[in-house]
Amino acid sequence: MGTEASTGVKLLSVAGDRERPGIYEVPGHHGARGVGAGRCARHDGGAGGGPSGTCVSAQQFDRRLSYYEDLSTGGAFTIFSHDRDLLSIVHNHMTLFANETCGFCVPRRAGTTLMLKSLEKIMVGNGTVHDLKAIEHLGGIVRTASRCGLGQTAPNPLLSTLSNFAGHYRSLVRADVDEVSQFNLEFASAESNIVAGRRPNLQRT
Amino acid sequence: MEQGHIEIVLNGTRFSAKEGQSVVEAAREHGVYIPTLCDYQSLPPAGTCRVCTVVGGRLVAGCTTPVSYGMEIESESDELEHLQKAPIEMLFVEGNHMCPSCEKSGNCQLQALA
Repeated sequence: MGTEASTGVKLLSVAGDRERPGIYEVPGHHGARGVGAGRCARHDGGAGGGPSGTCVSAQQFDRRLSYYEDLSTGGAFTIFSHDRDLLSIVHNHMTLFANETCGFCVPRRAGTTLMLKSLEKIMVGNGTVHDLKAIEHLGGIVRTASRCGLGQTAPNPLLSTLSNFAGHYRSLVRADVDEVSQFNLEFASAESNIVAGRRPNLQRT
Repeated sequence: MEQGHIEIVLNGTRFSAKEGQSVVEAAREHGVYIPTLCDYQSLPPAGTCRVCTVVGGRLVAGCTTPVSYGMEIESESDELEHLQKAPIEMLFVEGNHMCPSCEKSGNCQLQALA
């Protein structure tokens, strides 16, 4: 059963927006559609192998779940339906990785937080193409330079959705401007304005 | 070859290195500089800053990787320079280094590398 590299059967925990979530025993190299689509009415994407795994879109459900050959999974597969907000899921995963870093190595400690900030910028509607590039750039560094496997896989939720849901990200970034600064003068000066009893006189752009 | 010495290949050149030496130490002895921050004298190397990232088969921290027989190490390339610079940039972006009020300012590896 299975293939040479992924022999036998594997216990797979299938969770999320599925008619019948639960523990499934599937042969190695099983199609993702089998666990993903099933009789589920609607599906948008699935994450194989937990938060640090790969997030694939429904179009890629033909990929095979295996150890080494195609879509690797640690034993968990979560289905997300159309109703779910992709970015908030990714944000949730990235917050986990930014918060749960041990802080030992620089790329994971600083890199995940910087990626999270870029994602938040996109989520509030201030993202540009540069932010997408920044995420890819940072993700590459965290993936290659981190000290342990946890760090090396930490950028996965962002990087895999960025490549598998590229259109979605591009539709969320602003095309009218080149770059939006993360610095907000109004916000930054609010506290000192209160202390000094000063009325802000800022020109909105 | 002397006893306790092994041959390594660093950036295409053959060198003799002491057994048990780290890649960074062996390279320094032969005049090849690999930047380091957390590899501090009198402290055991931890490989946390990732500034000494080199290719030794795969990407590894030069300060924690001991030399081995016939090891091929690459410490200078555009990609490595990029990976070595990134942590330094991140350390400053983090905002935990207050140079104006730091007593180490002026005699600081981080400032020197920046």
